[in-house]
Amino acid sequence: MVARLGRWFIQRTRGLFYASGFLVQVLKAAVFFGRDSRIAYRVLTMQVLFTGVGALTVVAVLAISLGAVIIVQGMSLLPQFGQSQLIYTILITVITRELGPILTAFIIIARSGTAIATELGNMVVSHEIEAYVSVGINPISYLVVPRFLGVTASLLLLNLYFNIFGLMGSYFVTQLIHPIPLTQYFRSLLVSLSTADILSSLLKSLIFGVIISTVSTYNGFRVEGASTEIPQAVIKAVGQSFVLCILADAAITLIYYVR
Amino acid sequence: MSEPGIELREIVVRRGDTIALDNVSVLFPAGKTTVILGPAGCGKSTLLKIAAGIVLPDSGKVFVEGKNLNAMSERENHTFRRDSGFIFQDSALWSNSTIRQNLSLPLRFHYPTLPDDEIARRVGAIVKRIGFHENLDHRPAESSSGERKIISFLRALVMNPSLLYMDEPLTGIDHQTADRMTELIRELKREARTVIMVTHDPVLTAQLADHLVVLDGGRLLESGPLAQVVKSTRTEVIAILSRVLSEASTFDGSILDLLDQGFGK
Repeated sequence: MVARLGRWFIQRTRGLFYASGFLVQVLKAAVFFGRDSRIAYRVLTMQVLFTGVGALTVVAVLAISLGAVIIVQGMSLLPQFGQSQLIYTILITVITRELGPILTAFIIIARSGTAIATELGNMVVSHEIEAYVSVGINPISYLVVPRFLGVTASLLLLNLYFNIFGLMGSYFVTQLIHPIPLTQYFRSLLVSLSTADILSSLLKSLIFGVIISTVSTYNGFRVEGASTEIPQAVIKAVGQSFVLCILADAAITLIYYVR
Repeated sequence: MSEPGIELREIVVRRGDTIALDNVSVLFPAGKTTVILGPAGCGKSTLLKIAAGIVLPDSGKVFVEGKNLNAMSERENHTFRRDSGFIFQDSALWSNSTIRQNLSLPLRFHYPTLPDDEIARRVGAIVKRIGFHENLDHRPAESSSGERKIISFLRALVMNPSLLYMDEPLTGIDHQTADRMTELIRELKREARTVIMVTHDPVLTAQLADHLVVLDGGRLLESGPLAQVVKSTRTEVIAILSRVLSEASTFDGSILDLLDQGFGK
């Protein structure tokens, strides 16, 4: 029992060291991306198109629906406590600070995290990674860094996009329940919005992007040679990304309130 | 002191509890064609990939012209990769790219300032040299396995390398194309390029090999000039040579005689 526990612990610790080393290599290669990898711009563009542009519709639908739900619930509950004005603070807290970053991250895990782990796993199995090495192309610079930058940048922009559509969605529903002028609605929102809210939201997106891209590429590369390992790698990538994003979210929120 | 060529010293590769390569030390001489022979699963492809620096051994070192391959500077590694080409047993083409992109990527990577029309010219020249008539804007998945092998061959040659690694280069290719490719390999040999090849083809071995490396169960049985190895008195070497080469051969006669005579070399 103790020996098994020891083996499990050693395996986990080794995995953590491996993953940390991988992240350090990715960060180092990302710094020199512009200088070293002119050929990788195509991979970066494709990643931004797939992760960012490809997710616009689903993010917009989710954001508008969520904004509508919050405003309907808020407008029916808050007046009972004489706190109607709190609706703007709630919108900012829920959409900008909390759900915007985490929900866009969940969408990206489901769409891009799975795709990245599957694609890289397949490339390992079909020896395509070895072919890159054979011609001198570093797989970290050519395959990982563009995905790392593409996912992180897309997540930042999708979060902003989610905010715009979430707050717009709530405005349109307001017009149905309790019509107010557009300028008054957005002025009230801006009053409730602080720089810390924006920074916290962007910081979350940035960290989630780093987590999702690193975890997905790492698990894709961990496939050793059998195609049956690919679904396992994808499951691991999704599970680890979810857990790490939620933990990071909780940590940043905690820092926001205890600062 | 290292000799010119690729030298592997005390290479050990483990796969779980088994040893895939057991303390293998071998020299692939510069400017010569070396054929690695052995039964299936004896570690030939792994040895070839280690010699190319694609797979890292668990222990041991690889020296290229006296320089430790895994301790090379970025610039030295870049030069080594530019001057070497690898033909994979299962082609290993980049499936998300077109055939044209597969052939041009090494050029774009090593010569980033090369204009598009010059890249197109070089790709066109290598395609013409082998007589490959497929649409270059198709993806590799649309080609047959034999055609994919040819594309892998072309990709390895597009940089005009002085060092070529070939893993079963003619397997799955029709006779006509195989003949053209054999002729091309012979040209490379005449140009004194270093070729390291894994093959079961006795005719190809007899025609092209200067040196033989014989492996069995991850152990090096024999290595040296072709004439010396085929005259080996070790029964296990002769047994492996006869068995491996006759399994894949349609040649009606003694395989060892064929190798000894050099079959039209």
